[in-house]
Amino acid sequence: MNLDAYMNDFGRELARADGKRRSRRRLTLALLPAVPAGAALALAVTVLPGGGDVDAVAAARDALAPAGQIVHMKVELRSSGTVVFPMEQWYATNPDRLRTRTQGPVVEGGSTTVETLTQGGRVRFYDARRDVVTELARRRSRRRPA
Amino acid sequence: MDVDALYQRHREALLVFLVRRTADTEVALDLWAETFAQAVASQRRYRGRTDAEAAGWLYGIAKRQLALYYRRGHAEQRALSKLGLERPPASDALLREVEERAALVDLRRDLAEALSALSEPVRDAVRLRIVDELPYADVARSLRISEPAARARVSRGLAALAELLDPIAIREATAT
Repeated sequence: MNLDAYMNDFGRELARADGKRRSRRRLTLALLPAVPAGAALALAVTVLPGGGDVDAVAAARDALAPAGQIVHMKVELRSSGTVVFPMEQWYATNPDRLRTRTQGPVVEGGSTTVETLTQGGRVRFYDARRDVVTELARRRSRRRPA
Repeated sequence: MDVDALYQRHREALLVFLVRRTADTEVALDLWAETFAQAVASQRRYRGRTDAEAAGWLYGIAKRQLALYYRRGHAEQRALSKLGLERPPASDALLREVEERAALVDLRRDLAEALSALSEPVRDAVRLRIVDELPYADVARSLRISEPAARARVSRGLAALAELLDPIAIREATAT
């Protein structure tokens, strides 16, 4: 192989790596809107009173929660050895309050970190990339008369 | 930023640039591959518009890689690893072709004459590697030192011989 062929080979490998990198980036950008929505949904299901089953993280948090103190937890979900969306939680009781910070990937336009604050059936939701705070309130369920 | 177009325009000139500043075709090929890998990995940070700005940006990366090599004695492979790339191995015939294109034989002759400016341990390392063209493992064995130490001595010697290699580029590279 002469130098020109060698450079052609490496150039092809470089272009392939560049293409892969661009597709991964496009995928990340396409999935980004799903991150805040997913975080809010997971929070609504697992955290809001009456919202659903208590997950393992919530059970651990409750077990650690002494009255009058704040429990600070770092939660890591791993996929093939890689940490996916590392999360921090701060939890206090009487009244129940929960703050979470989920670190998303860094993309053009800044961090995709998402923060939530849950208190008294309300969730405040902060999207760092858009710099927008959204407030959600739990709908009260009406009981049917027997 | 079209890194492929940048690669096509500068691939050979950049390799010659690096060979003339390291006097070592293997090291130059490592630095060359890492420079283009860095260009792919960091292209989003590029803010220029013209071809000249793109060339300046690329050679800036190459000079940083050179500076690291002069300090540490080995070429970085961070971006190559990040992209899952490896610099293809080069045959002896290919290394000879690189030497010819960079007129390395003349440079080696000039370097051999300038070695007296160096301290004895560094001079011996540079002579064995650059003038006698021994592999680093043999340089290390001859000098009874480790291979990384042999690499470090050679790179220090080359940095000290900057006046011959390319005074401006090497001063700029080692100053960053």
